[in-house]
Amino acid sequence: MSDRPNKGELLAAAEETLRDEVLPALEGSAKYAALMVAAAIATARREIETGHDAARRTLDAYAELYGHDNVHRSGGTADERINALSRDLAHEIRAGTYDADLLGPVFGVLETQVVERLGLSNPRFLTSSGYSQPGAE
Amino acid sequence: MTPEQIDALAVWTADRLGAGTVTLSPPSKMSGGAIQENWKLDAEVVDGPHAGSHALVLRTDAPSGVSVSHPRAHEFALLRAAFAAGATVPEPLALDEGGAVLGKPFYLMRRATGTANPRALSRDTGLDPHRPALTAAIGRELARIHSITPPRAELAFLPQDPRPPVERRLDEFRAQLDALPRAYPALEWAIRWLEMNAPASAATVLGHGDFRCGNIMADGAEVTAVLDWEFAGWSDPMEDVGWICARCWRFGVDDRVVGGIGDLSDFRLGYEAEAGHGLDWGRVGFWEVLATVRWAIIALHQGERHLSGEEMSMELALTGRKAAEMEFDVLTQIRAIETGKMERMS
Repeated sequence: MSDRPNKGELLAAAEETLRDEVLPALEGSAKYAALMVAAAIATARREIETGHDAARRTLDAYAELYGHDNVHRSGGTADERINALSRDLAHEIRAGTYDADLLGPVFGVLETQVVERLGLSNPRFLTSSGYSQPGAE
Repeated sequence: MTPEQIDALAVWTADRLGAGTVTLSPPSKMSGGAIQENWKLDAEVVDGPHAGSHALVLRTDAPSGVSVSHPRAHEFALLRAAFAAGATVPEPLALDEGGAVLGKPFYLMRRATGTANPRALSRDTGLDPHRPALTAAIGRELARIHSITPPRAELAFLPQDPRPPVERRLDEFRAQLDALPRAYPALEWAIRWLEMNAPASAATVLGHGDFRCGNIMADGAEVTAVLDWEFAGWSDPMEDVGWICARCWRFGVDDRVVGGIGDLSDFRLGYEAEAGHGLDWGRVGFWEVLATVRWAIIALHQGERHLSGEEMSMELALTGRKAAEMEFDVLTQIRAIETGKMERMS
């Protein structure tokens, strides 16, 4: 169930209020905490807005490697399928399946999956390669 | 700390320093340290070999201190070994291993001046004229730490492992990945690449384990202290080099390879002048990849600490999502290294 403004619209409003009205009034550790909250809200908002597309593109990349039927006919939600496929791929990589061609087709899947995750958590990393601040204490 | 604890601490300190009396300023807690607590205090020492005023730090476990890092007694032994080797570390003065004084183990060390703030060290333009000398000084410090080699009776608590350091690390990485609820194929892929491209092991030395901007205090061109010894262990000397040079520890100043502070050529000059020999500098890229994978896995485990409810924290939660940044870097770095190899062959 969803009413309007919906969850994405509410998060966008929260983010904007935090950035425009709350953050300028803060300093020091409170400002740092609020910046982290803003980053968390932005990630959640992007997941709501584009998470579905990100999952589809990730599954499409797996389909390139494993074949369309193997990926798209398996059951579960998109997230469940991505988790299961990630686990399979991790096992294969560890077992040496791709040793002869690490930069071959397997690379495309890895790159797509990481790029799609970054598109949600820190899209700026993809354009400027700039690491996010939290954690870089 | 209660007044009774401070009194007991003063009596204990006087005894340990062979002093007549010791008067302590009320200790104040320093910022940072989820696992350890650092308290700032000053001591007036009357009589004995340490007579005079001393700026000190008392380091002890935080109330919730559960971790894989070294207990305080081991840290104290590491500091003593590093101090004896001529490394610029806070001089360790006295250890209470039993916890009789404060109810938990602690030690006293001298308080260093300068800043460890990564932002200041990487971005401060006032530091620019000092950067070459400071970076060389950081190289010298690392060479002094690396002059400590096994076996050392007083460091017998450090795990001895017959496996080459890279193999040991990669086994550790895989075990850490297996402990997570999700799989990370990009990290598995990087670990596989590291396994297939591991350089021959150098002679084993004492590695600091977290040698980077944030744990190095400096004042102008001088290193004033190398801090945070909790991850020290026997390793390949290049592991510390890769850690401080990895892009994820350059704090956004990518063109200053050594921790966002300065250039590798200066670091290398300092290291070689002190050590009297070089390292396999051509393989820094390999060790940067290993460092980046290590930080990615640490970040995932920090996120997991939040998710499991063990320690709810906005910062830990965001750090878990940060792993994708390191994963992207690792993909980019390995592709660049492999492309470079192919270009050289053609």
